[in-house]
Amino acid sequence: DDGEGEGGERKAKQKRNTWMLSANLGHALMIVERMVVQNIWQAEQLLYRNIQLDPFEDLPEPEVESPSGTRRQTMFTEDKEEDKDKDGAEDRPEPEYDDDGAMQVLWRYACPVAKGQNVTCFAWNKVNTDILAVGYGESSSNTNVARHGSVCCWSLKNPVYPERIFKIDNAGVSSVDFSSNHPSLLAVGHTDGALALFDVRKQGNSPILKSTVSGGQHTGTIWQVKWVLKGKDRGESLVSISADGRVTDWSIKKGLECSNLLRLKRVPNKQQGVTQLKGDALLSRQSGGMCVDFNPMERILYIVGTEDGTIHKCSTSYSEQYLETYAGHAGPVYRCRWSPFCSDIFLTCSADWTAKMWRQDRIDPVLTFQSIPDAVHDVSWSPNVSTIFGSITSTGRIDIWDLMNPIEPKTWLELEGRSLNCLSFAEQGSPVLCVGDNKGDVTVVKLMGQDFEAPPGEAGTQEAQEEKLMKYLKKNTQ
Amino acid sequence: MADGEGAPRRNKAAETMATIDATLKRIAAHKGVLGYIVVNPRDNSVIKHVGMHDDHELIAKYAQRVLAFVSLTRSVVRDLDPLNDLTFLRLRSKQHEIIVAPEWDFVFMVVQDYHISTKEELAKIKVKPKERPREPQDQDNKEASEGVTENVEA
Repeated sequence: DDGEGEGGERKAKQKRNTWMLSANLGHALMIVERMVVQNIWQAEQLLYRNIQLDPFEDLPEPEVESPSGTRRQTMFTEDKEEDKDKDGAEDRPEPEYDDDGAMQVLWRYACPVAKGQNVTCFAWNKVNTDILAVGYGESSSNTNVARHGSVCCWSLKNPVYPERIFKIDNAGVSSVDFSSNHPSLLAVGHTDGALALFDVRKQGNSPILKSTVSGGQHTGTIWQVKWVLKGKDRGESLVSISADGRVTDWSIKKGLECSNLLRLKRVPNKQQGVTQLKGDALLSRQSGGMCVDFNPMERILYIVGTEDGTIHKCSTSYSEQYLETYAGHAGPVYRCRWSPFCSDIFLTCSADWTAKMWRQDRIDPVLTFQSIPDAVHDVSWSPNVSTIFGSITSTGRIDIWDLMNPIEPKTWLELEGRSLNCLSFAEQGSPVLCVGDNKGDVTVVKLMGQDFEAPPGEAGTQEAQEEKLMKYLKKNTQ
Repeated sequence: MADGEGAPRRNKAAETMATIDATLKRIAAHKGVLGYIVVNPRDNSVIKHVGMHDDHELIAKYAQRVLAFVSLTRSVVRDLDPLNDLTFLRLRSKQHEIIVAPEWDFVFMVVQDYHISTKEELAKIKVKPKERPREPQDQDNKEASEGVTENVEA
């Protein structure tokens, strides 16, 4: 193209750079990066799996009276900038407060792509439980009009950079869920009501399927998407609930087709002192739905939490009426979750500063949990112990509750300067939880101690856990 | 029409190239990494290097020695089982670790000082300290006048 000399040089450079086009390079680099990162984060990664790197680390040293130097202590002290650089164990400063060390921060998933955005949702992969999909929406004063967002798939094996990044234009991400039957399929709900399906095996930003306005997609933010197993051999269905008051079931056989499972109608909420709905205008009859969860035992039953503070128990066989209405919250119900051990109990949390526990057959809440006067944004059961669950608030506080003492949290941790949006326990044997905040970070916290782990042997079976839960529930409600 | 097919393929290639570039930059920037070297195994020439204090003598030494080591290791693996092959190599010494990805068209090696702690990173995660309970429980340097030394279990 240019003079011969330059052309020759360019060819030589191209020849030298042919290694970059090698098919194996991408994979090799990924593995090398994981090795490099493991050299840095090995202790934390092992703790994630409940393996202490140095089992003798916690034994007290005879000379030093302060608790044996572990990294945990220095991490919690603030304002001791100069002490952070000291390496000597003897110089480790005394913790300024009584820390029972029950919650240890492992690392933070943060990447420049998502910096400053709101973390809106999590989903663990059903097969490879180390993979966490995190949805981000651009944070603005009015979170309903996020103009762009992204989904990042993080893995335990690389706490520094996500394995996949999907960028989304036009809308933020408000909900994600992984499929069980097709483990690489990720459903993503947007803030403009669109629903998209991504295949996480592929790189690239384009979804394999996306809902269209003409196809009847939602007209409001999709607050939750859930893949529901319909039982043996009957496949899986995708359900979404949105601010437009519809609970929709999607089929993926021919593009994305939807059919309404339910239209949420407003019901007078006694908690708010409304005994009769004023007027009967068509628009005011609809109520926005915020969360949905299907009963793990009977898949046709599901509960729905609404913006009004009411929770409805519904069935997929009835699309016009509710089976039961539970009124107890004075603000929008942000999350409702059935207990993984006992299919009669569910938890809800709301902007009215409380989290409540309910029994399927009673209209009033069985127990109420409140720690500080702040909206509780999310609540999640521990997958290992039936009586433990966690809740997060808008001021950065993570509370771990134990049903054995429902008056105050068993332990808690407060992250400074951020509002927490979502919480999820890792679906694995060792008790780890993740919290997403409004600054685009996902903090991974480990719960230390035998109390949080599944009890071994007989006491750890499904039946024993269920019994334990019911026993403490009865005890605390008498 | 030929171009129509070529365009998405080229886009995909450009995307992959961008990801690879980004990964290479990230690897060089991780804590403790001294740098990386890419060597052509056929003629032992250094294709590219980043970091390594830009010391060309050192880099040439690394290239030559590590390549010799890789072929020795590969022959060990294949002697034991001809169907097997070497995939990755990690050599840890007192001072640092050499991570090698030996492929047929390139050998990629990273040198990292693994004596690093995550203290700094973890300190960035600000956690609010819990308030002291009323009963004095720990030794406190500031409140020396109290003089209570017993550790009370909560």
